[in-house]
Amino acid sequence: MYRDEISVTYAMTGSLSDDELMRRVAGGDTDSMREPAFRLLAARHLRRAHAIAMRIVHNREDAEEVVQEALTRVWRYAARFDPARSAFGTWFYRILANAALDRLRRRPPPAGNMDDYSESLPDEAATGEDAWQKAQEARRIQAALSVLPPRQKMAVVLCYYEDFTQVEAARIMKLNPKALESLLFRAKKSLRQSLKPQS
Amino acid sequence: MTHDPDHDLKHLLRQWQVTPPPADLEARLISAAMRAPQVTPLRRRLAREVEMTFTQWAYALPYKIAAAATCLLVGAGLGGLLEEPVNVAGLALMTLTGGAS
Repeated sequence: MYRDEISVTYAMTGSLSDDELMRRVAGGDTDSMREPAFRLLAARHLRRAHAIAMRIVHNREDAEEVVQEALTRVWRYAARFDPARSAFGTWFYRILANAALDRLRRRPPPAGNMDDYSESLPDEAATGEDAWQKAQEARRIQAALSVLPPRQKMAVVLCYYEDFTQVEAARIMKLNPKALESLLFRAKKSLRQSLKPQS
Repeated sequence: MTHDPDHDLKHLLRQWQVTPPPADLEARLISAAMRAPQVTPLRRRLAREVEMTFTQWAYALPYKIAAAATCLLVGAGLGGLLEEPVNVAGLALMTLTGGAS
């Protein structure tokens, strides 16, 4: 039923840009397209938002809470969004990044937390030795990322996992591009150190 | 051909993949988000109140009556204060003398 609703919504609003959808979301009680527009907008960004949150907080429940918080803020403060000042993506991922970093500050993941170890398996079809090695590697990468300072981690996740350009990532993190470059430089140095091939 | 160490690091990092969110998560999160009340900016709220006030006579009637009464009182009070004091003796004298000063 939910999927049907999404299909109908898509037929009505699918061709609209994010900014246009946000204008409908902020339209107030009088705009009947407010909820369908929000559903579509959230559906467009949820997967990416969830992946970012997962990589920052390293825990499924916390990641869901972070995404929930970001979506709720978008809904509540939709009227504050100004397309003249930033694109919707920048605004939304900034809210998400702040929520994730905030969560990390309040509740840092315990050292060696591998709750989501099973989710690190990159290829379900792989079996035996190969799968074990891949899982070990994924675990090692997750551990190396988890010890990075939060803002360095965010920079790596945005630029290296989610393919934001450095300019976009800098806007999301409210930094100037030089500062982001410096964060990335330090993060890469730490990561290369901790991910050196084991002899 | 130049070797790009960033590309290698990116490739290595991407070996840690996260599974996509569960199917029901989307609906759950979106519905929960929409349960929160939307915050309307003060300017838009004021504009809406003004529009309702001028388009529906019964809207906020007690406030309209109170405002009208306040205007009446303030008007009467100011009128009373600013009005030239009436010189009753002078008027009477003018009447008696036929308006000659």
